[in-house]
Amino acid sequence: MKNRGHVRWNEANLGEIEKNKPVRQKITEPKTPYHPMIEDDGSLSPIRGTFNDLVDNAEHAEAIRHALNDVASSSRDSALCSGGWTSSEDEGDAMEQDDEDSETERSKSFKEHRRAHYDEFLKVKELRRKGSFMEDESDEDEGTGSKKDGGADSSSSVTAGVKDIDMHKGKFTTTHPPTANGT
Amino acid sequence: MSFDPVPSNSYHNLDEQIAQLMQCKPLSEQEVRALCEKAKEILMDESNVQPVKSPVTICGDIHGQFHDLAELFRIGGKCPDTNYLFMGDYVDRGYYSVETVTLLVALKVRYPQRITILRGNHESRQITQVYGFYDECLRKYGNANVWKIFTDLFDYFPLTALVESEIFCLHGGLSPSIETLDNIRNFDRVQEVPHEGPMCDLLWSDPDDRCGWGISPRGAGYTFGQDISDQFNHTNNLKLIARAHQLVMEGFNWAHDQKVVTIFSAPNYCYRCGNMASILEVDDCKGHTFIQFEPAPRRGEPDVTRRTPDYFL
Repeated sequence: MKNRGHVRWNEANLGEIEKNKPVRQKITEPKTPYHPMIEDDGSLSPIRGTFNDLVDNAEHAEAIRHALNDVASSSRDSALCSGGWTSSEDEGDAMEQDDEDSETERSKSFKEHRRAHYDEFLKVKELRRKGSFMEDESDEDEGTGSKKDGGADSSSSVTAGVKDIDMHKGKFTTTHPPTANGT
Repeated sequence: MSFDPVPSNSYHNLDEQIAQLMQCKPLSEQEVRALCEKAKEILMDESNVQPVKSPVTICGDIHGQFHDLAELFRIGGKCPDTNYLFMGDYVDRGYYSVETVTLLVALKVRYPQRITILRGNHESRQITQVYGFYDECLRKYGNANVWKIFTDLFDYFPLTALVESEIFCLHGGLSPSIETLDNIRNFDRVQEVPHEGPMCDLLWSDPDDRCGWGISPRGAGYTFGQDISDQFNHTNNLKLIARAHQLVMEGFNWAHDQKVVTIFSAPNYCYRCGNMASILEVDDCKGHTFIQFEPAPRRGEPDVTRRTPDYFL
């Protein structure tokens, strides 16, 4: 206490500064991919089954983020930062850093993670195989479409937690009130 | 319903809608429906290889990151002061796919000669059912009508564009079934993105370090090497292929000895990747400038006047 004697903070001023401090960049959005909204009334079904999928994507994104940070810290991207650090594998064409000279480990790791993230079509293929999509030929409104899907989808199969399949069965139940599943 | 491309007395209404969208407020279902009817009339007259004049600013994936799109317009200039060419993937993954795609379509209807919006692999019924746009429409409108309206409109989006006959712009990349731009001009694009074939490839392929054609790890499209790009550019008298479709750390990335460039315009992709975004300005003299940008400060934070603290004086 004694040694605080000669330092006095102007609390009012600090408060003022705090109140008026400039805007900082703060990113508050929730994590992607999209979280389904879970409603008590069940209008958007909580059992969407995408959860596994979300976890997968979250892992991918996390992995990508790490890889990107690594790449960023090495700061040797083409065209932007010439010079700078090159790995031994780069020496082959250290002069020209133009194309994706993917030989560094970091770049490799980045590309691997990016590839894992972009498995979109594989997922679609899998779902298509299970017949989980609303086909564009079906000109019926989404009510009938989902009824069909909902019907094919017994609630027990949803809760069984089958990985990818559920996600779509769950999804279409979201279009409709639970009663639509009655078929 | 009138299908005249926007009679002048409706500009006022449209301008109001654009102003509303710029504040990240979605339109009503009725408004979306009317807007998309007009957009369809405009888009259906565009070519599979839509000619574009310079100056123009070329942009890559947006993925529903509305606030970053607003930042893009702040940095690149407002439409129509700046001409824009967007290379697809407006929806999915981000939280504001509805606002993002509605704004771009509204700008297209308002300034059809000033903005070109190409189709990306996410402008598809199936992909949007998995990656967020469908769910977002349900959440924001309570039903899937708006999703249906937009995905029906996506069928009309042009697949590629050609800037000043020398920069070929598209979402994904080349196709082994396509040798010339005329090949592209000839197919019927108004359909859901097929699971294979040339139209699919244009939206799904990626450049690769390896020569020749490769099997894409994505499961659709191909990978293509520098030899393929050289050949295609030579055959079609092109200087450059500008494409999007892949996250790149710095927002842009040259490949194939500067014959191909990837442009990615979603900074901090998925709100977590930490990447820069970029846009490519092509000026009247066909000069190229990349402009990089970072995520926008987020919504609702007012511009607080900076005050110099006392102890600095």
